[in-house]
Amino acid sequence: MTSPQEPEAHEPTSPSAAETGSLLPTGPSLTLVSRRGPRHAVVAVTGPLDYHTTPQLLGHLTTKEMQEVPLLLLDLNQVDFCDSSALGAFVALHRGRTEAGHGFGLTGLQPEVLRILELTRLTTVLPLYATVDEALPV
Amino acid sequence: MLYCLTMAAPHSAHGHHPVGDLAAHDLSAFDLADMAACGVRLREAVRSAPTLDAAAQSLADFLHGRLRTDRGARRPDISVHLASGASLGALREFRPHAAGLPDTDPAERATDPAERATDPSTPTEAADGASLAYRLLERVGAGTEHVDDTPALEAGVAVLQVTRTDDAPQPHGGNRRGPASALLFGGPLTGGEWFVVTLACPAELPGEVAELFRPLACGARLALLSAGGAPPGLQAQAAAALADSLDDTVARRAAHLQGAVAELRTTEARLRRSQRELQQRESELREEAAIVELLQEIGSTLAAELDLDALVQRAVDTATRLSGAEFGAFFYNVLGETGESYLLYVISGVDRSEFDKFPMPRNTQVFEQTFRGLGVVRSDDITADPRYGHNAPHHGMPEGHLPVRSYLAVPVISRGTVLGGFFFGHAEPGVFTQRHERLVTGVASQTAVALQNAQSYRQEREAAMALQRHLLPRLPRVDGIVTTSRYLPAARSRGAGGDWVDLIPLRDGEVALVVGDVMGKGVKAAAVMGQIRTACRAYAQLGLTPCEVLEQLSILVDDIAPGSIVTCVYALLDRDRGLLRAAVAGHLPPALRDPHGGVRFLDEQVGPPLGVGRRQYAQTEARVESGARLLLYTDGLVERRGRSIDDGLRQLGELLAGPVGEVEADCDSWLEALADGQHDDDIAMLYLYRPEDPAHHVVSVVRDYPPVSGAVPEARDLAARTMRAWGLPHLANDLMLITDELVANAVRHARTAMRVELRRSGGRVVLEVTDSSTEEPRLIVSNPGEFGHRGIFLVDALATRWGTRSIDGGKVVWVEVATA
Repeated sequence: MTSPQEPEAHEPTSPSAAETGSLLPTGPSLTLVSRRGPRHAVVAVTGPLDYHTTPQLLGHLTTKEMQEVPLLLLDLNQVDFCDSSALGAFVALHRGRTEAGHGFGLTGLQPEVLRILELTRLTTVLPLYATVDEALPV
Repeated sequence: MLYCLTMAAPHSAHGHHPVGDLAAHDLSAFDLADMAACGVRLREAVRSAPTLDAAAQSLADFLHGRLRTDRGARRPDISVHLASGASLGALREFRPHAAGLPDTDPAERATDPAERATDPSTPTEAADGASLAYRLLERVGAGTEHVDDTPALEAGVAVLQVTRTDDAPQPHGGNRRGPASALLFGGPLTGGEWFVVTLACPAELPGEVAELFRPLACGARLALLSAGGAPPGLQAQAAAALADSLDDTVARRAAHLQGAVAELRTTEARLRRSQRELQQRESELREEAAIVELLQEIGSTLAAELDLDALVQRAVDTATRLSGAEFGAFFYNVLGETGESYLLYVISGVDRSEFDKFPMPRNTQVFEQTFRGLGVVRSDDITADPRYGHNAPHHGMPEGHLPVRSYLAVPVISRGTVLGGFFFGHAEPGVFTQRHERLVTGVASQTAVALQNAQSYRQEREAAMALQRHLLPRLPRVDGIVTTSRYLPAARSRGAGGDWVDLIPLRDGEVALVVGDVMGKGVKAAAVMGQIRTACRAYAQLGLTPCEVLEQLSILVDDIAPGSIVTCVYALLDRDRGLLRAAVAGHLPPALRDPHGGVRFLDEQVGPPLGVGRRQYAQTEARVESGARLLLYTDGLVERRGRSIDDGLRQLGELLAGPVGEVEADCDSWLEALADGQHDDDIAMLYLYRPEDPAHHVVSVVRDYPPVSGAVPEARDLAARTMRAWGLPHLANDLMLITDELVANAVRHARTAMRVELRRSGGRVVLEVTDSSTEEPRLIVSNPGEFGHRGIFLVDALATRWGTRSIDGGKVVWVEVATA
């Protein structure tokens, strides 16, 4: 019921449930690399963002440090696919952080991801930046 | 101390004293009140006697009249002796004057004390009292000069209680027994004279009687002194001794009573305590019985549930209710068709959405106990548990998790394998008790058994289905016609059946269409069916006509399964010309729908069933025009309890005449309308559509997935690869997204194993996702900024057409995308 994650630097792993005879789930995962600035954090995501991997991203971002950083940017330069689960996560993150007085944004959108955001008209809702630098306050 | 006395007293007859004489004091229950009453009356009876001897006689009479030895009327043998002089040379004996007996001169009873002294243990008649009297006198040292110094004399009297200590043989033979005990008291009078009173009792006396007789002895001495005209100083001394003795005895008795009362209180308290313990034990036992009963009830309910999804939900609901938890979860392992294991969970007490936002739990220190089946974890406050909060990144419950203080987790284990785990939470600490733990542990073991049951049922059913599938391989695609088939075993049946359909492409553009039914169930029927089907294929390849094929099959059935009844339709369709030739052996007739919706059953020439020897079968011919549809089926489709076959056929005819569309959807909707998952018999269907466009052909890719999130990327990759393989790379992105959304939707909501099928048919690509949930998908256009339901919105935006249809025990969501 609680959902502890692996510690920080995530690598794609395929943990074997059989090794401990336990009930643990298996499956591919995202690579998430976090860079901390003085007033911001950039999380570079590699891999498809979908129903399967979105909980991993959310888990990564629910740490106290990530929640309290003034500006959180998701660098999606290495994300060539996202589905409605990922969109839901973006919207929830944006809303939650805005309510808490923090900033949120997406950068490095690939054409397919951008198409999906346009189809769902989320380009008018979510802060989108071409690059990380563009998003950072001067 | 041994002594032997014979009971020769002439007054031992007891008929003269009424039983239960209230005036008599029972020596066996002699108490303080007896002592006081007896003492007063004794002094009254004795002190006014004119002489000492008369007083002694009165004493003997009084004691005889007043004492008995038990509740009956048996009386002690009383004698009073007076001994005079320092030498105690002679004893004067006084015995009671028993009523009805002549008075005896006391003087005549005088006995030679020397004679007695020589052998005091020799029993002689009427001498017992005397010998005992001597014993008392010797004991206190009577006859010596310094009587008052004798330590044995207390308050001027001595009291001696003698109890016989064994059953010595009686000297005179026989079995008469001497008295069981004797009570002696006496003391010095005046002028060196002594008195001794002997009470010889047939029954043993209580120990405290001697103590109570001390004041009586003092009273007797005082009365004898006063009757014998002793000097007033001596009398006063004796009276004082009596008073002291009374005080002393009363004090001792009081102390004794206090002790007795205190002991009684202790005993009462102890009794009360043990009663409380008894009550507690009883309620524990009752509780125990209630738990056992409850668990048995749950066990039988769970064991009866063969459907895994219903079973796990019922188990977690029951366990959550019994544990008093705010919410509970059951995580369980399911084996997929290819043997992989995946983790599912059900929730009770709160909405599942409370947990959908979290990833699956990891092997934290808290969860490890349960996931690895190491044991039960019950905590009054899990946040205070030493195992809590060690695992990054949350170090405890993640943000947004329902608050949990009280925590209870029980693994479900069967034969060393962890099948699952129950988890219960409550926001208040200290909610889960030992009893909750026991109940949930009980439910866990019942669940283990039920899970095994459900799994073996499923395995059996799947094995039967696999056998059927093996005997009924997927029918080939044939150019120029669109076909589909169905095989459904009877609802809640475990065995394979004898129904079959077949589609055999032949030379010259012909195709053989077969439907048949071997009566009976189980592996035997399936085996007969397999042989007939194989033979039928062989006859078809020989180019026999339908009538010839049925004739050959009838001979074959007689040969391989004599007595079996088999019905069959064998038809040959010329795909180019649309000409159908059919023969029917006792089977329900094929139904033909022309392009305009007219329906007719080909029932003009129905012959007998196969297996009745060589028979001639007649041939039916019909036109299957472009746009026409043909349905072959077994009786399970139209036959149903509470509905006649004619009604079923009429209903089928109406359905066929109604709107038709894609063959798969047609089959599924008719099955739903006619059988609705409640069919008592197996159902087999072969459905054919002769399209207007002869170039119409279909290719497809089918893959099964477990309901886990990992199925989403896999199905998406399948869609992308298939689009590229079909030369439709421009559709890859759309199909990836559509497949992703449909599969994720099935994982999220249906939570059953699913089948993904991609079909290319003409200018269309059709994606179908089949699951086992009957819940309908809904299209909700979400506002930008609102979480959720974007999946169906995306599908709607990308698809040419999409829809859903219910099938037996589940549903299909299909999406059609135009290729150009």
